[in-house]
Amino acid sequence: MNRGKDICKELKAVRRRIAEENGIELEIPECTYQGPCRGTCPRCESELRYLESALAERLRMGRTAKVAGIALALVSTAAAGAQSTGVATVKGNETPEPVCAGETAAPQNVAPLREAVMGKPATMSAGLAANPPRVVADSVRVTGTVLDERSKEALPFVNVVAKQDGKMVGGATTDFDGNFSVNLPKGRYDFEISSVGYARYTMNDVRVPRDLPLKTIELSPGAVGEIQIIEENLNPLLEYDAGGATQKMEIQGVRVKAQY
Amino acid sequence: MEAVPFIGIDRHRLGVDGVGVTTLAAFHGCPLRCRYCLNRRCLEPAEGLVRYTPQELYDRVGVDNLYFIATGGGVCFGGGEPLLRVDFLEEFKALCGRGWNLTAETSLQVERESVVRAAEVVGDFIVDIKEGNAAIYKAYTGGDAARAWGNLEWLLGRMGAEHVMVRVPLIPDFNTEADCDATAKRLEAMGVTRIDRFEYRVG
Repeated sequence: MNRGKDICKELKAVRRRIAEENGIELEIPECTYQGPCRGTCPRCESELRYLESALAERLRMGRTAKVAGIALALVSTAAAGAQSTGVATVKGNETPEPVCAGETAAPQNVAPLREAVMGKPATMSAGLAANPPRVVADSVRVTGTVLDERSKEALPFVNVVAKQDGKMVGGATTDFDGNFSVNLPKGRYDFEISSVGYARYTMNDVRVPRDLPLKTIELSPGAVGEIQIIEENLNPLLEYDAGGATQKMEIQGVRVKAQY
Repeated sequence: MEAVPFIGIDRHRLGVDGVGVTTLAAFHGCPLRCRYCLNRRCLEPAEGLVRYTPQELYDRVGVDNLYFIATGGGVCFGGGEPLLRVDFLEEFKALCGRGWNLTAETSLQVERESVVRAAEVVGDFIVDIKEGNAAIYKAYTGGDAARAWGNLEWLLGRMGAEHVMVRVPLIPDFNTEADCDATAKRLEAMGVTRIDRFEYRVG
């Protein structure tokens, strides 16, 4: 049995499903390669990159992209069975290899993956469903929205990292609507917001209020893109030290400058 | 964070590391010295191995982002012993967020604190518990069975049985079917519901 061919067949099915669900024209011809295969090849890789580009284009045109969980049932146990026979043969070094006889090295010129928005997750991963993010006592939740500076469109899958003394202490990724939420103990943080294709955006020495109970209220909606502290005190509690003077958090959103 | 050594990256694993399409990222380094280790490269000096920071690995494996999202898959960390690199796992999870599921293939032969921290970011665990008999465990791995089993008990309480699969190998010259039966019974008594029994074929 050619395990690589089985894997290729499964991955083709996933690509085909993604294309069908999103109205993307994608012709996937039958593979005629006869040699050894680990399940992918330059042609398969190019189809995947094409799907990413097509999905990104859909989003730029204001349309939705459906990917999350749409092929959950397609990865069959048949393929799994081919890889797990109940016997582990010890032959010496069996380190995982970088794949395929027909594949080049991992493509270096891939379309920025973070531009290919996957859509709202149909389901959370089972692990997250069983283990929702922990809310630590005596902490606050920092939320925000990330927009594209030129188009004003929400940017999903942007990385938001909170650091103290250069070390990452918390982080989040924006969702389909560009929103993020991160729980942090009270203190001072440097925030870094980054995404492929955009300049890194930093906010240094942001003070998150200290002596507040962990209760949440919804602040009045401000301008799109405000960073809000959800907590019970109505005063603007996210304070930003600028040159020794404490200021209210009036950041009008996190705008990530696009590089075109 | 500094780059850490990996013994290999294996893409397009289907259904063997949990749900969906996964990529296996195998760390160098392991606290055990199993006689029939499948990945001996992780025990040799790390010179010459490829090294990645969390960001670099994220960019490397992210070529399969569409597959991960579409199938509920993600990255499985193995090795070697991934729980020796909890800092790395934490940073990686912050990068990949909720879209990718993380799995760890682990012997649990680490400090409890590492298991506790890993449980915050890893969605599913595949545990190589090796053996329930402490003497056999020591003879085969060189390690302390009590530590691994204690961590397993804690992990079950934290994650729930549905997120912990335990592998029970029949190891030629070290244990027997009866030993494996006893190990499986002990696991069931602890509440483990997903047991993968298999056989090492030394060749």
